[in-house]
Amino acid sequence: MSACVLDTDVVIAALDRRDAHHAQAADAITAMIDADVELQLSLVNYAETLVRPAEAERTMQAAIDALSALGIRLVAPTPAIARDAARHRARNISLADGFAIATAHARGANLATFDLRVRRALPATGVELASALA
Amino acid sequence: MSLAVAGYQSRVMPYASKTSSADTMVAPRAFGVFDGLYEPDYLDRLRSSERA
Repeated sequence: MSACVLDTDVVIAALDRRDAHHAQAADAITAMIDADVELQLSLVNYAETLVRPAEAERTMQAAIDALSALGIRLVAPTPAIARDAARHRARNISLADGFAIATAHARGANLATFDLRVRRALPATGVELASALA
Repeated sequence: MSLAVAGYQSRVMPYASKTSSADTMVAPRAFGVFDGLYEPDYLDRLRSSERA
């Protein structure tokens, strides 16, 4: 089974139907589920996703339930992933995006992201953009 | 902001069709559960405030 790590922006786009990328994110995730691609999410990006919903228990639970319903596997950062994420910070991307890249690299997965800076950084990291978003 | 009652049913049907009937009940809530909860610049603002 192949795997894809989701960046925070893709998860948010999937959850919020007013997001500019909502349809694209929903289509890509559906296509990956159909293709038996395992969806993974770093706990760092999971936390970023939950900051806004966490302002109310009802929205927090809705977000948790939605991500669970999609079968997304949560991945805890290892020390090696943390070191790799720190190195990616020099590529002018956020630390959280660095965790997404480092997690994908460590797990031999592709990365799903809409962030153009992250996309530009990918060739140097050995991580490929998920074909569902290419 | 509000929670969407019926999410993105047409888009999740391929997923729902591969799962149990119980999952079929859950899957429509997976996409589009929020209706404007996240501001368009949510991530930028979140990361800026982390730096502040």
